[in-house]
This record gives sequence, structure tokens and C-alpha cells, in this order.
Amino acid sequence: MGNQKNRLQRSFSNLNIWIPYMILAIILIIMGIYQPGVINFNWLNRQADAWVTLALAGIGQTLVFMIGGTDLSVGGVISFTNCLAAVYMPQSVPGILAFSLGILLIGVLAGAFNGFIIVKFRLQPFIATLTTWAIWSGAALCILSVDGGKVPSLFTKALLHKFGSVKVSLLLLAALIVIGIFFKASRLGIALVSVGSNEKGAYFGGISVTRTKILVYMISGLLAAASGLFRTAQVASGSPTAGDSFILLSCASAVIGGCSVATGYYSFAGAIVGAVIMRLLTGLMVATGVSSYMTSLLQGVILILAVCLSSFTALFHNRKKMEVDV
Amino acid sequence: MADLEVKGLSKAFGGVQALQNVDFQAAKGEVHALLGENGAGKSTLIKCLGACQSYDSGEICLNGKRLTAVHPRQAMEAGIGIIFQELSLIPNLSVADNLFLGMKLGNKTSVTRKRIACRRAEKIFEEFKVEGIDPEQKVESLSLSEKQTLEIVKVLSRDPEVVVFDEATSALTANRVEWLFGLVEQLCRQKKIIIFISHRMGEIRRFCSVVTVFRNGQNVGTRLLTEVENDELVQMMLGRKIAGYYPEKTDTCREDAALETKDLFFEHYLDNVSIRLKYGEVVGIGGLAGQGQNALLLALSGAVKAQRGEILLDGKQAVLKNPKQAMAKGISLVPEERATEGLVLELSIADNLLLPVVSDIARFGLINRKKEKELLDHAVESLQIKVGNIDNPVNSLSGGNQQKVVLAKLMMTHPKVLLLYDFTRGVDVGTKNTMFTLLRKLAADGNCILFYSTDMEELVNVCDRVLVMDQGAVKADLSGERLTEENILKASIGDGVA
Repeated sequence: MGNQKNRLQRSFSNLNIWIPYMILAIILIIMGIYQPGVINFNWLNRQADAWVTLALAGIGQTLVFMIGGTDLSVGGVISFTNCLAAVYMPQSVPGILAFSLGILLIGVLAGAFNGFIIVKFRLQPFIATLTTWAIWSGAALCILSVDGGKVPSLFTKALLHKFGSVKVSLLLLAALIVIGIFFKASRLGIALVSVGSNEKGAYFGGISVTRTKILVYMISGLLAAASGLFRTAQVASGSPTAGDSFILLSCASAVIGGCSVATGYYSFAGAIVGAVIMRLLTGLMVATGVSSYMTSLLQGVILILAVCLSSFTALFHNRKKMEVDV
Repeated sequence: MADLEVKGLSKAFGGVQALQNVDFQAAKGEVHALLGENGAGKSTLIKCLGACQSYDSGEICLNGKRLTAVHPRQAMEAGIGIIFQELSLIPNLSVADNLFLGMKLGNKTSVTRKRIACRRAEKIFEEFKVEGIDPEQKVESLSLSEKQTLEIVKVLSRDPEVVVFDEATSALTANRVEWLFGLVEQLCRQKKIIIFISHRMGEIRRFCSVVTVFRNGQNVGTRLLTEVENDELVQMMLGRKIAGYYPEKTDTCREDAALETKDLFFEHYLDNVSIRLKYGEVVGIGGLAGQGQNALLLALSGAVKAQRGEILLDGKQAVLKNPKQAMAKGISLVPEERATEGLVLELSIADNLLLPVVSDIARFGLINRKKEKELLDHAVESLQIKVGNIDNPVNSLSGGNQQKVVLAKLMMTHPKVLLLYDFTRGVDVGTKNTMFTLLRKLAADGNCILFYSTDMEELVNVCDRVLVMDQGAVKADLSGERLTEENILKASIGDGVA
């Protein structure tokens, strides 16, 4: 009996987790009503390109959120890797492969640097990654002061390739969801929740807090670099400000995706859905003729609504418990 | 050579010498008690042993081999398991995940890990005879006693050679203490080295065979428990003789009621609680842990609002929206988690003490320094708080002294009604004596005191009257002749009281 009640309570607290999926469903229904027949497999294939860049950054941001940090440098890393690939990527197949790996490595190193200075010098993640964002953005500007560059067509083709009728982006999204399930069950996946939830307890429990934090920032850097590569292939040019919009959007994806340090919940799928929602809403705004100046404003409003909503459901849940409410 | 040997260990925090050239030995198959006042160095020794803290000089040897661990994990791997007083569980993770935190579980990154973990957790619970904890449950939803149980099982399941219980019984309910007793006996038979820290003399006598006493960071002697009297141990701990453990009870109860409740109700927590507290009275709340005692105190202090029922202060209905309002009306609470709810740890001792009265001593936003100093001197003196410098942060103090600061802070506002939640948990004998004497003095001055404790001996010896709670309801009201430990226990477990 007590057990049953517990289950019920647990599923109630899990309501939060379903919010991104419900929002997505609502948006899709609205789109289906206004533009009947537009949502089909081809549409999915086309949209996946736009989704995947943001989803990658959003997953990185989610993981960083879960250890109680923030990673603003994703914007800088995306701009930098985008410009670097657009300007210097060679034409040959081995060259492209080596260069792509090199760029991913740069992302990992950028993340490692973030993690290192945050852990070793005890910096506020916000300040630390704000400065590294400036550094990478600056580096991007040094390479490419205005939009341009020439991307090898082979590279573009490779990342936009269709296996049968399924695009690489769509496959990657599916792969990320699966990877997410394994990641959550991995030791790092559990360690990062414990670090975010009770750092001292994790340390006493034998978890290397330093290592976990640096690893998480490294993953975030890696995903940002991957996002930069995809962006390069999709746009076939470089832009020194390509990544800037990703800062707000990646945070929004993470929050809408339902991750929460307070409850210890996160998932890759949630972050991906968060990214999809942000992309769809932006698309909707463009389709309904909202000026591009307004887009950022509205994105901000959406983010704050999402944050309030997730905190409200947590609050509602706590009402049932006899706890001190400040 | 002893199995576990500590040689010449020293550790200083700033100017305070926490450990001074400590030698300590423990043998396999014995349960070794560590005794000492708060701040005597027991916890520091344990933390050095578990590599949770570095030490300045000296060495620690296990089975003749020197320990060189610098991270808790390495100490764990070397066979040292520490069950901490401050719980080191992760509230957001499930019971099973906590149990295997930082451990390899066969396959490293598999979705089946959760299932494996749950199955192994169930097996471990069976092995350790723990019932009623679901491995899938989040630790957050466990009671304090269950958390402590889990902490014990977590450490023991890793099969350490040295097991340290750092006040592991302070939050356990009575039947879990029995369970632990059986467990310790079993560990003894397995020839483990067991170190046991507790402030409860009765438990030490039951659990342990050897005792080492610490005072001011030094080892002042090791005795066999069969050959030493309590008085002698207390004397070793204090370095002086104290007259009586408990202050004398005198009837200071007055006629008029201070605080009354009528049918206070909160689903699952409070079941129509009606009590009447008079001025000059020390009333205890007893019962098993987690039977609504915390909820009652929180409701009375204005921290949470009951769903139904009313609270009367001086016979008039009182609306308590928050603790500040309650404090203004003369009701103050010493909360459960002194560290998180009672103090701002990073602020200085002085600032913490002044927090509730800042507006009284400030004029036009400026603080009256002279008044401030008067108040502080009085507070430090009346409670005998051991402070190096009153401008040091509170977290530089030991647990017992932090607790004194919490009490001193509340006394600054001159409350009429004091609500104390298990405020002697983890506090040493000397400090307890000071606090109880103060309690009786406050009662004699006409204050009303409501005092929850898990220690029945304390309740019987300090309180005029004890209310026993069970499942959110007050089941017994014991005073005079009927106020005995047996009666409290009987009422707690649902037996009728004669």
C-alpha cells in the first residue's frame, strides 16, 4: 500500500519530464492544422539539419547544467570551428577526415581548458566561460573577419548525405538518443548527478569531483565543435558570429528539455526535443512574419517562461510535502 | 605491532592545533570507542584516516604497511570504510545508485546497469537484513534513520578492513540500533577493525570493548571498558570533575498557558494535535524518530502552515506566517539541521549572533558598536562558547560549539517560547551539561520550552513533562512518577502506559 502510494508520488513528480514532449505535440498539432500535410518524412529529413546543430550544443549544455555550471563558450567554439573549417579545410578525403578529427579535438581541448580553470582556480563557471567565449569569438574573427570561406564540396556532401532516404543528421539524432540512454547508466552519467546534487557527498563517496567536472566540460566542448562542423557543411561557408545565437538557444534547449539539478533528472532525448521546440518556434515566427529583430526577444520570453514553468511544477510537487517554504 | 597504527599524527587548522602528535592503535576483532568532547580531534583523526583531509606530519599504518592515500577513493580501496556523521549520500540518486556510487558494476556502460544495481542492492539488503527500503526509491524520500541505515550498508557492502562509525547511531531509531548491534558483533567475528564514535555512554558500553579518550587534540589514554567507570571517563574527557551530569529539576511551572494548539492537522504529518504549554515549564517531545515531531515544531515556529487547526499564544489566536513573525511574537526554533537551517556558515560568529537583532542595535542603518559588543560578550559568556576570535567564520567551530552559537543567537531576541529540535544530537557531555543548566535557568525565568530529543534519558532527566508522539498524534502525556524511560518507550511503540 505504502509502496503503491510512493509509485504514484513518483510518477507525479515525473510530470516535469513529459512537459517538453507535450509542448512538442502541441506545436506539431498547431502546425498540422494550419498547414495540413506539411508534416511528413521529407519535412523531418529537411528539418533535421537545423535541429542537429542545436541539439548537439543543447546536450552539452544540459550536462554542464547538471554539475551546476554553465558553458557560454559553446558560442565561441562553434564560431571558431566554423571559420576554421570554412577557411582551411583541404579537398582530399584523408585531409577532410584528419581535419574534422582535429576540429573535434580542438573542441575537447577548449572544454578541458574551461573545466581546468573552473576547477583549479575555483572560478564562477559563468565568468570563466564568458571569457573563453570572447577568446574563441576573437580567434574566429582573426581567421575570418566577414562571412565567407570556401568549404570543400566533398565535406558538404558527406554530412548532408542520405542513406536511402534518411539523412545523416536524422541518423545522428537517433544515435544521440540511444547514446543518451547508455550515458545515463554509465558511471560518468551517475557521477555527474552526484556532483551536482551533493558535491561533498560525492567526494567522500569516492568520486573524483575534479575529473568529473573537467570531463563534462570536455564533452560540452566536443559537442560544440561537432555542431560547428555540421553548421559548416550545411551553410557551406563560415561566419565569425555563427555561434552567438547558440548561447541562449542551447540554454533554452536544456531547460525546456526538463533537466534539473534539484531533482537530478536529465536526458539526451529531452535536450533534443528542447532544441527541436526552439527551432520550430523560430521557424513559426519567421513563417508568420515576425521581424528578425523580434525573434531574439521572443526567444528570451520563451526561455523565461520555460524556467518558471519547470520551477513551478517543482514547487507544486513540494506543496504536498511538509517542508519549509522560503 | 598493532593492526592499525597511527604514529605522531599532527594537523593544524590555521592557529588551532586539531591533532597534536597523536598515537593511536586498534586491533582486529575489537570494537574501539573514541570518546571526547566536540572539537577534541576525533573527527579530524577519522578524516585523516579516510584521506578526506591531509595531515601535517606523522603516519598511518594498516597491517604494517604505510597508507599513502590522498583521495577518499584510494583510502576506500586500501580497506578503510568510514560511515560519516554528516551524511554523504546523494539525495537525487536512487538508493541503488548511491549504494554503488563510484564503483564498477561488471559492465561499465550498459542500460541494464540499473537492473543489475537494483538486483544487487536487494541482495545486499537481504544480506544485511534491511527491510522496507526500495532500491529504486530516491534517497531524498527516505527518513533520516533510513538514510543513516543506507550509509552504513553502503560502506559495509564494500567489505572494508577498517570500519569507522562516526556517530552512526545518532539518527537511528531504536530497532535499527538493535540491528546495528547485531551487525557489529558479526564484524567482530570477521576480525575487522572497528572504530566507534558516539556520545551515548550506554551504547559505548554495549558495543565496545576498548575506549580511547581524546582531549584538545591529544590522546589522553586507552582503557578496557570493563575496567573503567563512567565517572573516570568523563573526568578524562573534561580534564576536570563535573558535579552532576544533569542539573537539578525544580518545579518552576506557572499557571498561565503560553502556547496552545487546537486540532493541528497536516495530512500524513500531524493528526489533530492539541497541546497546552505553560510558562516556566520544560516540555519534552518523545517517540520514535519521524513521528511528526519535526512537523509540529515547524508549524509552531511559523515555518510551515498546518492545513487545519489553530495555534493560541497567551490565550489569543496567533497567525504565524513565517519564522520572523513568530520570533517577533516570542517563539523561536532551533531547527533540525543546525548547519543548513540555523546558521550562515560563511558569516562570522559575531554576524550570526547579531542576525536576528540587527534592527534593534542599528539606528539609521548604522550599527551601534558599543551595544553590539555588550550583546556579544554576554552571549559568549553565558553559553561558554569556545571561540578563538568572534570574527572567524562559524564553520571554523566544532559541531557542539556551532550548536551553542545557534542557541545564543536565538537568546538574543529574548523569546518567551523556545522550540528545540534534537539540539543535543552530536553534542558532548560537557556542552550538554551547560545547555541543560541553561534550559532550567530559562524555565525558572518564566520561559516556556518545548524540547524534542531522541535520547530518552535526556527527556526524563531534563523535562517536567513529556509528550510522546506516534504517527503524528500525541499518544501520551507523562509527568511526575509516570515519567520514566520505560513509559516513554512503551508509548512510542504503541503499548499502553500504566
